Amino acid sequence: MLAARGFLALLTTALGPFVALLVVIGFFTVADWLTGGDTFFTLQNFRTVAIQACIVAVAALGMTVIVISGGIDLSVGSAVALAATVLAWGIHYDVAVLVTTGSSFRTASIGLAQAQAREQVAAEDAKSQWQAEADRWREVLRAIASEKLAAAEAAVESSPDDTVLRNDVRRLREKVQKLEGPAANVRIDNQWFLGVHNHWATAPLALFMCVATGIAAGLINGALISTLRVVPFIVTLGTMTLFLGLGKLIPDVPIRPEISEIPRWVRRLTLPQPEPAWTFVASGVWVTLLLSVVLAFVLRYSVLGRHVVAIGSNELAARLCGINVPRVKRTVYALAGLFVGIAGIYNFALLNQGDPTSGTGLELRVIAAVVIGGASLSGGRGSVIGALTGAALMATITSGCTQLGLPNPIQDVIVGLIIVAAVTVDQFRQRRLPGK
Amino acid sequence: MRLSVLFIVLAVVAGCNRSGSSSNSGGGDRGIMLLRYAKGSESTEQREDGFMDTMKSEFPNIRIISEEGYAGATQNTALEASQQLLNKYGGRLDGIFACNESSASGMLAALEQIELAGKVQFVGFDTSSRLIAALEDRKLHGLVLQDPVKMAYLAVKTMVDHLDGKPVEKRVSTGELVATPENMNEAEVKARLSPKMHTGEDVKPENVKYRIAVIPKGTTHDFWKSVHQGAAQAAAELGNVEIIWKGPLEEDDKQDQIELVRGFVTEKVHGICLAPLDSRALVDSVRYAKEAGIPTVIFDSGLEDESVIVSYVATDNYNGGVLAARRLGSLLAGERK
Repeated sequence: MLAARGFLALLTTALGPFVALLVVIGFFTVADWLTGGDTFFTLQNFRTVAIQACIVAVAALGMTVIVISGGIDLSVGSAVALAATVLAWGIHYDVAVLVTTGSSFRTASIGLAQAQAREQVAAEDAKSQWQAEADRWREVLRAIASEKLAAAEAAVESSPDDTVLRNDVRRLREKVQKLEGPAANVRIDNQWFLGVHNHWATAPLALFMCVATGIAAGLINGALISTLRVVPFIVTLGTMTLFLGLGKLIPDVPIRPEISEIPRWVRRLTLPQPEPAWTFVASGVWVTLLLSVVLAFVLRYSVLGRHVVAIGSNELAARLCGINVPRVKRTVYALAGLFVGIAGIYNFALLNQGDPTSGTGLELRVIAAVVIGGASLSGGRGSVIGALTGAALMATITSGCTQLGLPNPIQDVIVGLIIVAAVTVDQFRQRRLPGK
Repeated sequence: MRLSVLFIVLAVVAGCNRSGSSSNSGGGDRGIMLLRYAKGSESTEQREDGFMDTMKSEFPNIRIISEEGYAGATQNTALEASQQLLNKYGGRLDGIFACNESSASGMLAALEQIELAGKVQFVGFDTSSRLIAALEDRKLHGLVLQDPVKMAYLAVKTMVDHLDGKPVEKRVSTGELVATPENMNEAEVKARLSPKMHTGEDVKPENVKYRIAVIPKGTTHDFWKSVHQGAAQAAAELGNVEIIWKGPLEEDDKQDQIELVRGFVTEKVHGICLAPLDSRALVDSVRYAKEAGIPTVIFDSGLEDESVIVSYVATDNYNGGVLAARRLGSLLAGERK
């Protein structure tokens, strides 16, 4: 009898979500089989569902730490989209060249096109001013194009059989010649950007900016929460809109850089078919798993991890024990920001563009994943494995409902019921805890 | 600290003043407004382009005083955006073009609130019972109509032709026309103003030769119910085709739609008919389907990379914008005489 009760207690603790996941997988497998399908319990579906879960799970890792500390972050969706937009911006405008020379091939081309257009419509006495402006841009553009030409020529020398590279060199040489010639108008159209490739350092720098944006967003949240002493729910409700607005402030969003300029490994992060095939699932899944292991260790064995749990369980007691609560909170939100930045890379990889509105609704999925995974919204408890399981559970239900042909409203109802069930289990557990 | 705040406030005020004065300067201050839908939506951007190009080339005397407003995904966002825009430009407006159903409905509601409806020439795109009533009351003076039933019907038919190994056109157009208060009772216009909508369950035929997934942009708008009707009609006619109708869980969720396409690839349907929510974000998923041997026909909206699709069935949205501009332009030109 005692053993049975012990087993039940185990079910409602750490293993609970995991058992729920297995039950759901079992249910859909049988239901799919009964309705004549044979596609739910397959490797291909596993790959699709896994990557779908990871897009939520990466952000859910950071959220787990926040929830354990007794906080919440509603801004995670718009922060992820903002980070992705920054990444797209960096690649689109060749940010490595932009920071070293002050303008890139694209910005200089736009500047030149505008100056030329102004010159044509300007009054006679103002024409020379715009002409000088155009000349200035032409010179900037020529310098950038020559540098790119030199780099491309060097690349051709090391691999002379590459016809694509040779074509690029030819195109760049034509551009440089056009720019060196007399001040004839240079036509800036889509053709103009053909053969112009980003500096090799642009992609790493843009990715770094993306992660830095996530961390900055976390730092802002952490600073506001720890200094203003306003509840995280309200602070992040505000920053949710704030980050959305900042993203929309970036000119010409959504930003869609040339597909060829997006590093191949970034695009592969969220594609279901792994490459090479022996890696079994998409690289994005492996990255998520690796991050999860590291975070689990940090939470369990580091001083920070202990402090986070202590604050979440009883903030006053933690403060009396000498824990610097504001500092730990700032660290928690900054750490979550790191995951937000990485989630931004996933968002960009999936949509191949930077769209500041694309994170709307993500925060709810992320929080749902954490809660379904057994974390307590009143703080003190939560686990990495739980967040992963929660994200997997939701992705599995989405997939299962599609495969069974269930209509959308039914799917909404099922996910809603599961969230309510998870919170109920949490309440149940809380009441049984001694001293509460 | 205080000084810097002061500077920011000053800078903002100065910025507002500058933009305000520039929009006031230059010629007569009355004109028309274009209410856009959302960035990245290919079909409505085509309409906006068609409208703007035609206005500039055929009606150079009509000033466009606002073209920066975006209605957003729903009628609610459209209403809010319209209220803001009318606050700013309301008194100076002669005409408005709203480029889809939800933005036209939102704008109509906003016009009614400040009792401007009927006083401003107003052209919309797509239909709903509310917009039809407004057309009758002459609060709306033109509606560019597409044919959602025919669009989905042709998308499914094209897909089946392709699966049967017949050659298909890469681009299929479904035609567009303008409904006005004058012609709205003509049979052809009437049929398009209130297209059939799908009700009840999809019927699964006895012996299924092809299973085709039809993925709309959303499931709640009337437009998509008519699309559903068209797909069901084609299936009923063919007799051996099963339609799997499934849209994104939340209207306008690109990520959801990507997951749907991938899910149907796993499910090994015979073909996918898709109305892409985004011209770029869906490309990778459609290519994934193609690599898995599942062809895709897109409808309603285009994709950046057309090498991944079999065919594209849609309204000529650019021409729709042109028709809207001609309707609004001729209304305003007539008024001035």
